[in-house]
Amino acid sequence: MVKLTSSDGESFDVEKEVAERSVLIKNMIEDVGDASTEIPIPNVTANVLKKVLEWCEHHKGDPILANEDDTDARKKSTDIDEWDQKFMQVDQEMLFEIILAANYLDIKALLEVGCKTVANMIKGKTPEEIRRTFNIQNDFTPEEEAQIRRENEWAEDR
Amino acid sequence: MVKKYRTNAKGYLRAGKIHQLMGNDLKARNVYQEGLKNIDSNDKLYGVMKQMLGTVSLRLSREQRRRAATSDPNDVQQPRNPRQPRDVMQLPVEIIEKILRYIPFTQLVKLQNVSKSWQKFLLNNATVWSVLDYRQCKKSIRCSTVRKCLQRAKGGVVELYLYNVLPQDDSIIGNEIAPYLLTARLQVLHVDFNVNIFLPSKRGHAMLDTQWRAFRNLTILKIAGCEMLESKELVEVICQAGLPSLRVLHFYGSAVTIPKRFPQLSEWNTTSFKPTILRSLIIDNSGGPMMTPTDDILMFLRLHPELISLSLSRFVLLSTPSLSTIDLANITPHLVELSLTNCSASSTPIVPPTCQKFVIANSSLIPRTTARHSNGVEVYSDGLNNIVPNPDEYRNLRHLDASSNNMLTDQDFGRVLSRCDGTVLQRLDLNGCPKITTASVFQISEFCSALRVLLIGQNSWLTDNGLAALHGLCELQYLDISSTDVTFTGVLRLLAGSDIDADGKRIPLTKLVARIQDDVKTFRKSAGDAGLRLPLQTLVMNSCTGISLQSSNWIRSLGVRVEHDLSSMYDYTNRNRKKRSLYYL
Repeated sequence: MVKLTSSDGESFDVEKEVAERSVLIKNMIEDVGDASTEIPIPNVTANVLKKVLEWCEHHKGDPILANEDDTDARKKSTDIDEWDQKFMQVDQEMLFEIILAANYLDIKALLEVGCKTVANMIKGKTPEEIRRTFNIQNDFTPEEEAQIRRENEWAEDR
Repeated sequence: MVKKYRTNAKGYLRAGKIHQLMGNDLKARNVYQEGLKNIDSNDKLYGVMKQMLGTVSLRLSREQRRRAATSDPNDVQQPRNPRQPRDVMQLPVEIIEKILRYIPFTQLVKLQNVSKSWQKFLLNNATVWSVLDYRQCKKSIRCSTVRKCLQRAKGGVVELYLYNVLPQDDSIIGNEIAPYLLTARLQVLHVDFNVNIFLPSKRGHAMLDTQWRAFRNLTILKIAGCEMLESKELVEVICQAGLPSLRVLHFYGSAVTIPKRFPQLSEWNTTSFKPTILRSLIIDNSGGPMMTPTDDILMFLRLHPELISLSLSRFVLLSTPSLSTIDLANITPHLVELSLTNCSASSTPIVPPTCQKFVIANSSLIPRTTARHSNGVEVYSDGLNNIVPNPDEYRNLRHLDASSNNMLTDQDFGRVLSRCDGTVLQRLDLNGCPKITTASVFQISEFCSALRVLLIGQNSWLTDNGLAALHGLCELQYLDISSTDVTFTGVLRLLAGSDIDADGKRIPLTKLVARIQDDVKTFRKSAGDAGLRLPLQTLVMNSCTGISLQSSNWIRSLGVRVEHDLSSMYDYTNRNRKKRSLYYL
């Protein structure tokens, strides 16, 4: 068992195997050499940490992604497995927090799922729809907007 | 530790991490800063430490900002409503990059319209432009547009799909684009017609030998126009293993209708040629045939011993006095897939026993067969009765495609089957094979116990009896009998087995229908399944004039997916409505 403490001081007792889905925590445990010490997670609040640990628990048996080829090659598929899809049905604030936490804790697979979820919110939508989804202010003048559209006319899909 | 070994990077890292863990970022930062001063910048941990320092400093500055914000009540920053969605652009850059990697290129470009911060990010981030895919573009692309995109990639273009480029830019395209492609990061390059970056032209810029060296990580190269193979420069680069990472080489289409000639390697100076690691070679020729002397293609294939998939179409393999057979078992021993569509040759290439898919559709080729030698011993021979070794070559065949092959006879086919493994063969394509007969169908049903997919449409010889014989194939999932003369009786017999009862009398069709329906019912009861789980899932019988639409609807009701397009046969079914009322269910 490992004891993790969130930034707002709440403690979580987790199986070592579950906690070690996070490369950061895994390295810390190795460095400290004693799994019984309390590990502070200063960047993640309790409610997010709880959610992240829920994911780690469900995926504890998965093979760890071997460095996930970091090529810039555009990945085509945004398919997400069913459990992860349900897991990601949270408000957008939480979604972003999970992504940030996964990034900080270095949990590649969770980060990937999070990014895919956001990508699905963007994919195939018009700029206007995206502004609405993410509550973005359109700070272009109509002229500027028309100008950009003209410049990128070639990118119209078939 | 730090005190003892001032130059040991590990010590600093560890001390820094401990401080970080204790939540003391300030101390951690000091440790890292000191470490960076003391250790050698060549140390492999130097970079790691620099990174750690970066993250710690970032966090500290954020902290400071937050403190400043909270201590100053006049700060404009409002506490954000957690329900309020956040802009993606507020995430760290590396995460935004990760997200945008999933967005197709053409949409990415248009996302500039979202807001100024999006526009700024998209225009200045090189990874956004690392995959330039013009395949989906509706309009033609100006060369200058491509150049602009390449510039934004800052030499980091990884995949480039150069399609839909305006034809008038043809002659300058080499000069405009080629310089930006000479990057070691490029992995995938697709080149459309009229983008002549590889051909020397009057004004254009052909690749120079030395420039090809830049493509050391290119893995997939797809070039339009099989006549490009006539470019000596390009072929030489390939043969000299000038593209050391190339795995997939694909030529497709052709802009010329005159016959083309395969590179005459046998007449070239081949001392600099080197074997490659090419895995897949596709020369999908159209237009004029590719005239190919056997020794030229042999030399070419010998340079690619790792090939797993080889596909040639519209090739004319010319035998030379010394060479008539292409022995792929020796040249490419790992071959899994061999496709020779629209090809002709005096004899069929020998495939290695690893081969799983063999396509000779539309070709004047037949699979190599056995023949009985004069002394009664069965030997293995090619079409010319030359005795050759390797009787095992079709042992692992899973898919044999001989559709529209008008050379294949019953005899050949039988011999091929005897060389295959009936428990391995899963798919047979025999659409439009005029020289085989129902006899082959009987052989299939007897021999191919594992067959899942069978296409025997467009064969006038297929009769109800032949169709009924297929009842024995208990794994069959997909059957195509389009444009044949089979009738509903044949289909019923396929499903029910025999229409002869124990006394040797013919069972009336109505009874047969009832029997099949009963079978389906009992099956449903026992398995609780929605439809007949005969292995048969799909039955394609387009333009089968002997079967009415009512009949096909009935088959559908059994849970089989039926394709039955009779649009051109309307007249026929109408006239025979009375006669076929029997099938009206």
